[in-house]
Amino acid sequence: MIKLKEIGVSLSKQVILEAINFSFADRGLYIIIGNNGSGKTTLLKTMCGIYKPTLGLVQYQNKDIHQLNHFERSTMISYTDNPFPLPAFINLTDYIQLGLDNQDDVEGVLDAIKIGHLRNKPVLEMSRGQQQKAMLAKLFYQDNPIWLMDEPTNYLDYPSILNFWEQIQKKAKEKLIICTIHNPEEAIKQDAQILILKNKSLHPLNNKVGLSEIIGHLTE
Amino acid sequence: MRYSLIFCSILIWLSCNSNNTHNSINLEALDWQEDSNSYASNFAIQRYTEHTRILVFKDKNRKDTLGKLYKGHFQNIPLDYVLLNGQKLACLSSVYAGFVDAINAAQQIGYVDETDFIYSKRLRSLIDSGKIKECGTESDLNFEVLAQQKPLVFTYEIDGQGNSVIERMKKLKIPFLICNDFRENHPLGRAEWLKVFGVICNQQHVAGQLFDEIVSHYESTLYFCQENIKTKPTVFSGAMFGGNWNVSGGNTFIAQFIKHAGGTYIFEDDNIDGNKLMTFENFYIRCKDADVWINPNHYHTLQEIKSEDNRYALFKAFKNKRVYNNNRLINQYGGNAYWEMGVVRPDIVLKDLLICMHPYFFENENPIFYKHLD
Amino acid sequence: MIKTIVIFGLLTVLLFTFDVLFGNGTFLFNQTDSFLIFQQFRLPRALSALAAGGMLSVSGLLMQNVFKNPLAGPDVLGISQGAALMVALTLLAGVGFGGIILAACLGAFFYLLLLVWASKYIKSSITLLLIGVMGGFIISAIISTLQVISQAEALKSYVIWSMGSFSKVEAIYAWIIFAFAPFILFFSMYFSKAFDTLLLGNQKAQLLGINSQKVFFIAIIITAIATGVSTAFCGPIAFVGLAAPHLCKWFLKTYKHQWLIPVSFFVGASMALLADILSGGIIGGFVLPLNATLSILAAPVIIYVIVKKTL
Repeated sequence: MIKLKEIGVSLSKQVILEAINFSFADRGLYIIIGNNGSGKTTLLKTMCGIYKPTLGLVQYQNKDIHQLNHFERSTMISYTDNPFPLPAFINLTDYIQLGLDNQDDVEGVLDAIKIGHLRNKPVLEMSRGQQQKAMLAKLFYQDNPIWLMDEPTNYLDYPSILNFWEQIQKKAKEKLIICTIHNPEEAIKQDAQILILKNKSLHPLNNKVGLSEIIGHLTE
Repeated sequence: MRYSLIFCSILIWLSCNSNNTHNSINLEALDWQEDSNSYASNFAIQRYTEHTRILVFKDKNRKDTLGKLYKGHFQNIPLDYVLLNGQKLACLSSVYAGFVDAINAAQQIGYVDETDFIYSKRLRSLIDSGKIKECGTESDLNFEVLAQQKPLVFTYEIDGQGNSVIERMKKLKIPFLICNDFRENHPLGRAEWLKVFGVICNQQHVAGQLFDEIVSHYESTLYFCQENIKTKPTVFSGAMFGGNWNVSGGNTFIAQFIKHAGGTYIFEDDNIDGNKLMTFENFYIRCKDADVWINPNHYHTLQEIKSEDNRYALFKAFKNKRVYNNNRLINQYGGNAYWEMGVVRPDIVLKDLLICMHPYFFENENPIFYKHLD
Repeated sequence: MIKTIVIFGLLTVLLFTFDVLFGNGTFLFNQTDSFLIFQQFRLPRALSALAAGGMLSVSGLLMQNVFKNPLAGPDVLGISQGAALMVALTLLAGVGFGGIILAACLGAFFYLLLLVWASKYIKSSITLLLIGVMGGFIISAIISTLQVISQAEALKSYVIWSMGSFSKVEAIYAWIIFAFAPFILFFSMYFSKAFDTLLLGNQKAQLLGINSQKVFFIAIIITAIATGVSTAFCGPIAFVGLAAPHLCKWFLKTYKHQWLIPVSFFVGASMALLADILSGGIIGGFVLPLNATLSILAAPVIIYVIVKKTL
């Protein structure tokens, strides 16, 4: 589980996030909604250790994640935003396994994301949507206990989005998954805890919250 | 009425301008008589009554003219001529300063390219008293001072970006002369340029006498060598530069010097006027058994040569310590007397080379410009 | 993959032999002193061409990876000039030839450290490349200034050194360069997996557990040593580090450094050997400058890369 304690993050002398406090459980799906520029990416990057918070701590199982070295972090937390840069001359299967010591077969993961037919295709020759799926497949393959995903459904076609959430719901039974989304209609269809990122802070919303309420928060 | 006035003044103004060009003397039309040169082919001194002109050519074919100078009382001469009127001189090489100094006209020099490299005592005292100043080398010439003072600039034909230097001098109306002495095929031909400087500096008599002296001394040394010295050592010159040797061709004056000093230049048979590049290996194959090595770039000792590249030690000339360089007389700044005086006095250089190449013959004599490397 | 390594390995051996036997435009065994010629002239040239070409090519491959720029290379980024400046300062200070290798390596290393420091603040690799190029110009300007104010003799030594050439390398130095080559080759290959992962970008590599900074630094050390050693003895060698990796990728079509590194070594070695053969007098007896010959060989490759990227 991840605890955010009094997190303040400033980038280039601008305060992006202020006094964020939240505890995420060991398992489950959390969806963070926010408008452009609200700090969604900054928050996720701070939570996986790419950014160091200006104030406060990110704790994983009661340890400050910045006390760990990046190898230790890499076995606990995965993060995705976009697939780039993509190396040349690499096919999907090799891409998924690149940098990982995992010996498992990739077929399971290819099946889950439904891109088995692309297994030998060079990733540079794929469409943007297919590259997004490749990135997701790699995250699945890494199989860490915590998944942080920044707008994971960008570029995906409708059936793929449905399939994605179906897989995520399954994984959320054993893992902690936190996604940022900017489309509330998509968010509301999931069985997840929704939080709004607004005015530099994080507000959890009621379980039974309705779409219009969320839209209201976003358009204030 | 007003318009015709304007029209007339324009006409008059136009005709005045054209009168200017019409008034410049057509020097080519004069009946010039040429002084005959004994050895030089790249210049011609011509006279007509009390007028003198000097023409400088690219080579003996006289197809390209590098410069024209005129001395006389005509003021309105064509633009491609330089008028000699006793102006100060600027020397972009110590060779030219050497020529001028040799004919006792050092005080006419106003500028040299780098004062550090000047050797002669007379020139140095003029430098120390501020009468000779620095004007910079061709890559960083002080155009401002030259444009103001307008001395006559002696320069060599600069390769590469040099043309822009010459163009700029033309634009700034700085009078210059491209001296082509180093392309003379004969060492005496190079010395004969004393006559050119003699005309320019009003020391024609001194120049003529000195040249005659040089010729007679050279010829008597040559004769002595031909009569008395029978063994001919094989000789090569130069050193490696970036993996390759710059080899002087068989028609250059260095080849002539070696021949006149009773040696066989390794490359005397190739009919080249200039230089060519050879790999170290090919050069080694041809010269490894040569007896004598002269002019190894800037080195002073055999140790220096060997530490630059230990393959130099493979040459027989190196093993037998028969290496000679023309840097015996240098001042504390690196200025080498050879460039100032050696060019003017090929007779002394010839004698030096004789002593170097046939040491058993001249046991008690020492060369002036050359030293035996050890 | 193995096939490609073998092919290029054989090509290198072939060119090496040709350079030794015919590199001067004459057949080695036609000479009266064949062994001496072989030992003092032919072998040093071929050894230094092979080793320098190979090492510079591997450096170029790594530079293109860590700077994420296909136009990166030891000479383009100004690293050769950094080595050159240190050599110039050393020569002008009057230190003998022995100190030059150390000076060249140090020069390359400090320059690269500067680039690394700059890269912390400049994320765009194109900007970094431009800075490297400008850095190269600035250093050349400094060297020119030094030449103007220095004494004549030291100046001459520097000018001599600054013309890149394999034929000026003496036997003992050629063996030194040759000794570094396998070290650079195997040291780089040891980190193949890390370099592979680095292809995903510093951030993603970090998230996969690779210490991107450390790998970056290793690439720099390898480049510094390779550039330092080659430049110290042969002078600045142009374009091999830039073009050979691209040729290698064009043949291999893989991302795996365990193959890319050895093949680019052999491609670079072959390129340098070929340039040495062509510039040594085999063409009509003309001696050509090495770097000019290398430019002609490398130019089509580089142009192709630029065109392909912009299409």
